[in-house]
Parts: sequence; C-alpha cells; structure tokens
Amino acid sequence: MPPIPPQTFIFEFLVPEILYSISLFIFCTLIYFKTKEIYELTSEKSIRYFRFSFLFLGIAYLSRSVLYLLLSWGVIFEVPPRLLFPDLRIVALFSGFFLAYFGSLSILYLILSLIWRKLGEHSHETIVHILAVFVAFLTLLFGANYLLVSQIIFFTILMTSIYLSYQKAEKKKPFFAGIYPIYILIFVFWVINVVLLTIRMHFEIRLILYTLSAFFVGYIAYRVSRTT
Amino acid sequence: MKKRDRLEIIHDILKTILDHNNSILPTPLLRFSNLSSQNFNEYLNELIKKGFIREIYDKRGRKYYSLTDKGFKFLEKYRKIREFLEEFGL
Repeated sequence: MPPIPPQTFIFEFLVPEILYSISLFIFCTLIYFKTKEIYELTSEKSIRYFRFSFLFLGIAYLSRSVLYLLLSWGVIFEVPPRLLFPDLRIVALFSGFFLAYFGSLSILYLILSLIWRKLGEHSHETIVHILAVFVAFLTLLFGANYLLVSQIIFFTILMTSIYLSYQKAEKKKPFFAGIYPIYILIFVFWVINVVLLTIRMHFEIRLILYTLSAFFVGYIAYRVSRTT
Repeated sequence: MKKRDRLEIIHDILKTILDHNNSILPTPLLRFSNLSSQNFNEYLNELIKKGFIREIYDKRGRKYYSLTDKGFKFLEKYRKIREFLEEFGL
C-alpha cells in the first residue's frame, strides 16, 4: 500500500478522532457534574455508580482515540510510529491499559448502579477495580482480542442486570420507552469501538458509527440535564 | 404496607420537622417517623452529621430538631431526585 498523503491522515483520522473523543468526553463529564448535587444530597450508591460509569466511559473513549491514532499511523505511513518516536510505544501501551481499565470499569459501574441492592450493603468497588486491572493487564500482555472478549462478557452481564432492574421497577414503562435500550446501545457501540481497533473500516462507515455512538451518550446527557 | 427505602425515610423525617414549624422535640419526631428507636437514632445521627438538621436548645434546656439550609434543599429537590432514580432505573 503506497503511503497516504498527510492530509488524509489529518482529515480522515486525526480530526474525526479528536472531535469524536472530545465530544464524548464532554457529554460524559456533563453527566458526571450534573448529577453532583443530587449525589451530595442523597449519598445514594446507585447515583454514585451511575456518575462514575459515565466518567470512566469518557476517559476510556479518550484513551481509545489516542491508541487508534497511533495504530492508524503505522498503517497509513507504513512506518511504525515506534521507529519515528520510540517514546510513542510507551504512550500506546499506557493508552491500551487505560482503555481496557476504564472501559471495563464503565460497564461494571453501570451494572453496580442497576443491581447494587441485590448485591447487599457491602461496597463492591474494590472487586470491580481488581477485575478491571486484571482485564487491563491481560490486554497489555495478549492484545486487543482479550479486551474484546472481556467487554463482550461484561456486556452480557450488563444485559442480565438490565433485565433484573426492569423486573423490579415499580412503575413499569414499556421496555423500549425507557432508558434501558439506550444503555444497551451505548455499550453495543462501545464494543464496536473496541472492534474498530482490530479491523480497518471505511472512513464513511466509521463516521456513521461515531455519530451514532456520540448521539446516544449525548441523549443520556440531555436527559440527565433535563431531570436534574 | 410497602417498606420505605432510605431516601423515603429521610424525606419523612425532614418533612415532619418542617410540618412542625421547623422545630420539634425528639419524642414526637420518633413517633411520627414510624421507626424503632435504634433505627431512628441512626438516621438522626446521619442527618446531623450530613448537616440536614441541627439540634437547638430552649431556655429550659430542652432539645429541639430544626432543618438547616441543606435540609430545606433536600425537601425541595426530593421530587426531582425520585424522578431521576426512576428515569434511569437506579
């Protein structure tokens, strides 16, 4: 594959990735800060887990973009970035670690927010952090495929938690009128984002996936702003 | 009768204080809160520690409970908090 001009890298990779990760990070931090007041008033565990879930998701998306740009660089210019800048390898390793760690935490915290009452009064945060560190080390040692498998497993647990939470809801709305399908879509797109690290996809398809992914997180941010 | 959750109990205690002109003696507060005295003391300590209520004493040294600004804010926001928890399945 011949080298692609730097403009392609800038307009098809750098600009969309930066816009995408920054917009997601803004939505996620908006959710975190908009729920600060009601958390401080209530000290409710479910609110704590919910807000941390989105904060971690924002950090995971930032780490993903850094890693994605570094991986894409090697493909586009046919020169692995480590040959140009040896320090970038360390940046890529840390990004991979943070991506796996915060991505796992994000799903696990959302699971906790939905089913913490069923798990008892003890805090499960330590267990969740140990699990996320374990996944992050596996990803560092064995690559993105292990991250993908772990995220799919966590996503399956999330689906079960959503089912349990929906069952116990006092005022039941129809499933598709509630927030649960949005949670599912957010993490479906998160898993797709992890897949994008391992396979190449056309710019247009990537752009559609990015837009949808940002839309669903933005929609949660909008509903949080409206409710709080 | 449905078992009240933690937030509902806190709301009921604060609302009782408010309904008594923001000043109530411990015994009627215990009676209105519908809690065992052990649970009542736990909730009361939590509410004082978090700054929702404060203890005040009259000239005869009798203890009353009164809402702080934070307590008023909780009551004001309670409906929104409930809506939030319900809307996000928390």
